[in-house]
Amino acid sequence: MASVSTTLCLPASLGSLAELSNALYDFVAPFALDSAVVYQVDLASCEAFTNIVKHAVNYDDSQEVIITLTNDGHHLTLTLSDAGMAMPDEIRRELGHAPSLSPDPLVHSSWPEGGMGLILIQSMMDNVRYETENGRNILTLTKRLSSEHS
Amino acid sequence: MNFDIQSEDGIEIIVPLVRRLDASVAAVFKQELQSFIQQGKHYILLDFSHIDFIDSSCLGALVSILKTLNGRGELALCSLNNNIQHMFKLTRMDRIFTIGDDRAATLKAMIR
Repeated sequence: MASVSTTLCLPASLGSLAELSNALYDFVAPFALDSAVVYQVDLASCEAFTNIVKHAVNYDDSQEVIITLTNDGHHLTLTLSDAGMAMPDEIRRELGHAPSLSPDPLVHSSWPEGGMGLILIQSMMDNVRYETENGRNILTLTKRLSSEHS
Repeated sequence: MNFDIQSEDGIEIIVPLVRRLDASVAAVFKQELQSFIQQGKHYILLDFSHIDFIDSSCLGALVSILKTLNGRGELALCSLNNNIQHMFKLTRMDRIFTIGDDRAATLKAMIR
């Protein structure tokens, strides 16, 4: 199939999360994708967008996030681009490493209340890439589609 | 945030009447659950029947509530859809929460 794309621009606000999810579901509707796959992309995009709001732009909703969704028949790709603070190097280095959490039921201090977003993004998506170019941070999330759904 | 609340055998059964638990509602969600604990309701069953999505912010809120209870009660979850169950397994949060298939089975399993 020919590659299909859509781009949207949303205010960097947690209030935009619903619109982001709706846009994703509207985009994938014609392709009859596995619902679990769409859920995983929905979750990864939600986590990524939230990280931009909280960490890149510090809740400045005058800033905008540009989101592009692409289906090339084999992969669903989501890019999120912002003009906020770049991801710190120590966190960038974690991308590409197998993430894990190990909460101990008996040790309350091991139960995480935060910091799970990146782990979920990396677990849900097949490839995660982050780059900074011309003052914009670009996060690219890629999910392989099974052949019967691509 | 709207909830449906019932009591049974000293357990508060709380049903959030929202479809999505994401970062936009996490603070309110946490605050609402904290207020139940402040009212002395320490045995809580959170019924996910209406919820089809939860992100790490709201998952973190649940962990925070569990820590607040600190063994003085119980927070159990039921009726999680397959996608949410998968997320709990992935984050290994299924190790620290009591999770049941349905309300009746989970109520039975909870420690009064």
